[in-house]
Amino acid sequence: MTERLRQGFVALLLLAAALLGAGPARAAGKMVSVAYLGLVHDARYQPLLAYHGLNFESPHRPYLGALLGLKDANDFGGLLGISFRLAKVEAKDAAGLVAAIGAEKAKGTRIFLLDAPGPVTAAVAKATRGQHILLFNVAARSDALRGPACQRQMFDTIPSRAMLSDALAQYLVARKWRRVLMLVGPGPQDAENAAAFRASAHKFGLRVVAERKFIISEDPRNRARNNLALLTGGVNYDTVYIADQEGEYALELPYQTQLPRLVIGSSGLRAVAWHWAWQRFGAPQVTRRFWRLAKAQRMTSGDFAAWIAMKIVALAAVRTHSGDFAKIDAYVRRPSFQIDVYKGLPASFRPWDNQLRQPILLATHAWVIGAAPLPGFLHPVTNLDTLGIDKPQSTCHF
Amino acid sequence: MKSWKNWLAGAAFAAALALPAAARAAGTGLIFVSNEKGASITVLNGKTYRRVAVIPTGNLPRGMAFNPAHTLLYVACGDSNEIDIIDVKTLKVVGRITKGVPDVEQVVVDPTDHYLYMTNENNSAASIYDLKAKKIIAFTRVGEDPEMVFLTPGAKRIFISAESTDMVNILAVPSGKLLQTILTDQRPRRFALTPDHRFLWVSCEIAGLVDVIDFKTLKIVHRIRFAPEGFQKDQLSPVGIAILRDGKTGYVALGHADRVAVVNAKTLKVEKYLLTGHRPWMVTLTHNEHRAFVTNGESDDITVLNTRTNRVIRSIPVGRYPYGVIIDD
Repeated sequence: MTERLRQGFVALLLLAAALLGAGPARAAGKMVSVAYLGLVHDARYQPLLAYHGLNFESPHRPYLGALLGLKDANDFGGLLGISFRLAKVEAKDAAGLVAAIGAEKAKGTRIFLLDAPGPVTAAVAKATRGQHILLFNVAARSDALRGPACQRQMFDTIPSRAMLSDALAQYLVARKWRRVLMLVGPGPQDAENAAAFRASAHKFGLRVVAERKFIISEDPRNRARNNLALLTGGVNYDTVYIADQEGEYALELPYQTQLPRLVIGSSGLRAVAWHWAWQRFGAPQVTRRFWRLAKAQRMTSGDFAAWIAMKIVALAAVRTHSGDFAKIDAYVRRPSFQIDVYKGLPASFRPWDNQLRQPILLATHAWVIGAAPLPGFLHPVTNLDTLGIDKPQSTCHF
Repeated sequence: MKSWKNWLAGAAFAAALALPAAARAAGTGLIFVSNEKGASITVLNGKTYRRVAVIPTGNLPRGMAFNPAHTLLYVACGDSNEIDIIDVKTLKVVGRITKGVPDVEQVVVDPTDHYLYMTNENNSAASIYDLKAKKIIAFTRVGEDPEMVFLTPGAKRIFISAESTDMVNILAVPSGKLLQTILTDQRPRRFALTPDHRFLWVSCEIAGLVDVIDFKTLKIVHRIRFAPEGFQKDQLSPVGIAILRDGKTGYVALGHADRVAVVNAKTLKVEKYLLTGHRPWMVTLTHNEHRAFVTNGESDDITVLNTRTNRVIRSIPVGRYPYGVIIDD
């Protein structure tokens, strides 16, 4: 969305808010300010390499999801005299983001949506430790952020890698496809995803028959690592799991495995926080609203995480009838806190690591096959805690 | 014997209440089920439950309402942005309202047959259609994802449940003016008014309970909670509700828990849980209140309950994703 469009949109929102505010239910005007923080140059939002030169949709920043959240927040609060504002701030690196937080705080903003890769998110969270802010991690899936790198002021609305790989593992167990061949790319995220999947396999009793590293290359001297037939031959398995942060090799894999088997992980069946094809629990209405707002772009998991963070803020402000940060913060931390995430079971925060526990969708390129926790995966407190790091295993100490 | 007397008393009370009944022919007994994904209405014989007809409609048929004479059935077809009008005798679509009715989810006809009240889901609006002038006369912004329209006794106000913003918006009719907004627990869905008009029940799907709202002060005075054995709190997602005219018993469909709760409407305690199909959704009573029909959104069938014995009698396959039931009786 261009800046002009965006301004037009905000103007429209303000107009709508003003009109709604005219209702009799209006209390004294209360305002809650939120700032979205992103990196100026962020490799994650470069067009997919495999699609260069083709007119496919490029990945976009979850700022759009936050904008939808802003609209929803104002629809919610507008009828009750509470309005919301969203600023967009970009910086070059973690230090820049920390400085931006300081600057926004000086203007009265205490709530932030952080859209950055894992290491940057960890650095920003560490540098703002002890500050009276709410920092919503809407992008980084790294398990470390829910473990050793967790911070009391940070809440993760994006699912962790452990939650995502647990969802996949549950699906394989449910189908009795227990033998998995793992293919792991060279990137740091690939290593993290592979580690999470290995842990999930162990947790749910899957058997990893082999784990092989791949690289994208045509070099015949590197055949053992770049040839799909060699990479997927020589062992028997039910599915192939691939961790490929670049995404191109994962696109190559289905239909080219040596055995006629299904692919999961970075292509084939993927575990996601959100998918545009999700049809249940009011999701189509959300996806449609997003599609309209984002000028025909599809709502991503990042958009979902940013959108739901805004909704969490709105819920807290409306329920406490307040724009006061301390009250909003306390509301979010209540043990009874829960929020509808349009995925069936209501979501809530795990008190031991501030992760939003939520159903995980299992999706192909164009359909949602299931939503974890799958039937039969039980937990004494909530079945949502069969996904991700449970309290006894947590290494997070605030 | 006692229950027979109760029934007589109930029927007399109902006849006294239901003004338009005078103008209404004896019902056909037909049961109409809207199939959300089937783009159709399944019509069942009211006695044998045999399938009489499947009427193709616009896409996403959900809310249904009869005109007061029960000669026409209005069907909200959200994805086709239209309201289909079905002739109850011929079981054919005889007309469509297509202007100014975007993504309509629920429709209610007022007792004078003058106005059609509806919710427009994706527009976060409630609107009023003048059936005589054949045009929209009010279009009011309400909370997000508005669902149910509840017309108050006396037809002076409508209550709208806005699912995504946890609120009930109260509008004057026919002006459509927003009078008041009250907050409920999370994801309000359906309404049921106690026969003495003292309490309004509002099912709150995500909160997993039913808010009991004092109908005068509009404050939440009680919350009905559910605890069927073997379920966690977050698996309880109440949607459909109905209260018997004797004011003693209420039925609440519990969604994910695949059960309908039988609630003592005086003590507000659950007396029994009845097993249904998957994701029971709406509850509709027959006019004589001997039976309740429950649509099961995720097993493409409806469950029939005997309200005297509070037992499940049978289930009847219908179309894809049954949403609601309405009975011409």
